Amino acid sequence: MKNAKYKMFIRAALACFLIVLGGCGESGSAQSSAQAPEIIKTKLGTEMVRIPAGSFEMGSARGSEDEKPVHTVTLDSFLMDCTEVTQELFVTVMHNPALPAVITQAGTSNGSVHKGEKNPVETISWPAAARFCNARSIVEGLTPCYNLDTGACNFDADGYRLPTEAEWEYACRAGTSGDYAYDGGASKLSEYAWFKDNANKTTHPVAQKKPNAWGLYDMLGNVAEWCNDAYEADYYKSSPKANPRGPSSDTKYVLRGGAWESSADALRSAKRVGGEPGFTDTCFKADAIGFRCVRRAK
Amino acid sequence: MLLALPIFANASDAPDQGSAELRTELKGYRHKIVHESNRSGNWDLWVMNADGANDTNITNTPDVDELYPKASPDGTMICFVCDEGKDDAKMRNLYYMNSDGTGRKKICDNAREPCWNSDGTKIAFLKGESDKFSYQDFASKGIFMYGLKSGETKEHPNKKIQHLYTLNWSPDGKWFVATVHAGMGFKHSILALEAAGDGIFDLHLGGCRPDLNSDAKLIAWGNGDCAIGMADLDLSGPTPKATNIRNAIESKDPIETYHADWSPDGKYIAFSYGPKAKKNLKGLLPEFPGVEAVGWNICVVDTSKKDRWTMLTTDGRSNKEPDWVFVKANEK
Repeated sequence: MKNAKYKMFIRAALACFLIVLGGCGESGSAQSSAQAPEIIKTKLGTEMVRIPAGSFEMGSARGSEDEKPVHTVTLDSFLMDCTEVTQELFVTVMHNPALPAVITQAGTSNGSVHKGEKNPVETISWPAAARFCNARSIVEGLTPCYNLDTGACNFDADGYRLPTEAEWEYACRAGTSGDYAYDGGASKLSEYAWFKDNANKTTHPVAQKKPNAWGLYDMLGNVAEWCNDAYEADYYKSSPKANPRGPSSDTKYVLRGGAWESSADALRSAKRVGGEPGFTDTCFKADAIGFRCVRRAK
Repeated sequence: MLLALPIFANASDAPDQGSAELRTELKGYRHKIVHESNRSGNWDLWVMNADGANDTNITNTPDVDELYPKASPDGTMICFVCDEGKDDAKMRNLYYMNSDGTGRKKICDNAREPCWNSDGTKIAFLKGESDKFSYQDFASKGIFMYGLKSGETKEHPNKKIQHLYTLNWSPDGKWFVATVHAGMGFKHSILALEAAGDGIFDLHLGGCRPDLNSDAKLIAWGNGDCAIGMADLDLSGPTPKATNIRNAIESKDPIETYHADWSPDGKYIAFSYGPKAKKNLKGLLPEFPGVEAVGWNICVVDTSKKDRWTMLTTDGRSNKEPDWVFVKANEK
């Protein structure tokens, strides 16, 4: 993180002011019910935001067909990384001597193309991201969420996992309901995100742009983020209202937030993408894909 | 069971009789094939005739796992890696031996993906990126060259080399060809690297695991998961180029084809094929050396005729990484 003072200022501002931005979702403006985000530090020193329990309108009536219908979703509280997982954190975790062979034998190398300690880890498949979540849990003495044999996620475990698609959108919106989680629309996107217009064809160190109202950096752009959910275009038509966890199919998995190579439209809060997870792909080469972790809030 | 799988997309164009014909033809082909297999209960190296007959375990070591064999150009020696130790103490080390399995000598600890120079006097290899054992194919750092006579190892002058796998050495000694994954600014490519300089060139071949024929005028590789690609290769100029890209054989997803290896005269390509791994998070893929590959077998394809192929092993016991062993005309 480039500037600790700047971050503290932002958090203080968030704590002190209720940001009320005009318009509603359909007009493309943002509405925020900002509240002071509680930041916790993990054992490895990474910062996470305590995302409050609540309800929100998921999807977009103006977006692609797979973003419809807009529907109410209620979520429990959870913790989410303030930033995308950096290459520094990835190496720190994966080289920890506490890790068992079942995790390290699959590889501990940083396979990112755009190298930089503070840059997000990328070129990472869904199973490799899930494996990292388990590794991070083990290093911090938490119970791993993923069954490495089946890929199943234990949501009751206290360890790290990928966010559900609903958790991701809820956290991204941070109380807003517009196309973007701030006021001003696509014209102000450069203040919040690295994307096609300003990224110069590469990732950038995390937390260089403005955070959203809940203190989450780079939810838009830099790297697209894996979610725990499999992707189905018509999932919203039948998804449960409380804590939805995705369809049972697993051909594709959800990617959210867009990336350094994406156009502004791909960075909308509701934008959905189904990505090949890379379960059997030795040549996984998507250097615009990374992730951040969540944890159960105690 | 295995044969019931949709093996090749165009199997109807390659009738059984065709493959039987090729197998008969291979009976008279004097060169042999060495490969890895876990059919003995652990990983060993096996050598068989070109038609698959007389598949013989040449290592017979229940406590360690020999993998990734590469025969010297004259067929008298084989270099290979050996996974030794258990759990956290496990390590992948580099050896060579006579092609009958005798005279094993260690070259280097924590090393992988070896290849020979053209006269069999040197072995080039990659070192492991980490001290901790990994099956991950690209977990490597640097290129090193070991002289069999001197016993000395020299590092490539480019110290920034990393994340290579499937190393090849051109017969004139001027080039290495290998796959890179997220290294030296490349995403995922097959590269030609100057053997004595810093020059690195992308051959623009989609896929991985290349193999050069004996005069390096041809290259074969895993063209995606389900095809063995072939291309003409020109390493004579300052900028290496691969042209005339085509597939020697294609399989149908979820059956994969990998580990292409040119026969000494370039007439055939040996390769391994089998089903993709079932969904899991362990990250161990069947095409990695030493990872169990249920249903995988060694095949040979005739490079002069489309879809003329035959299967040499049939037990599906992780038969992978075939490498042709040159046999002199008057030898058996």
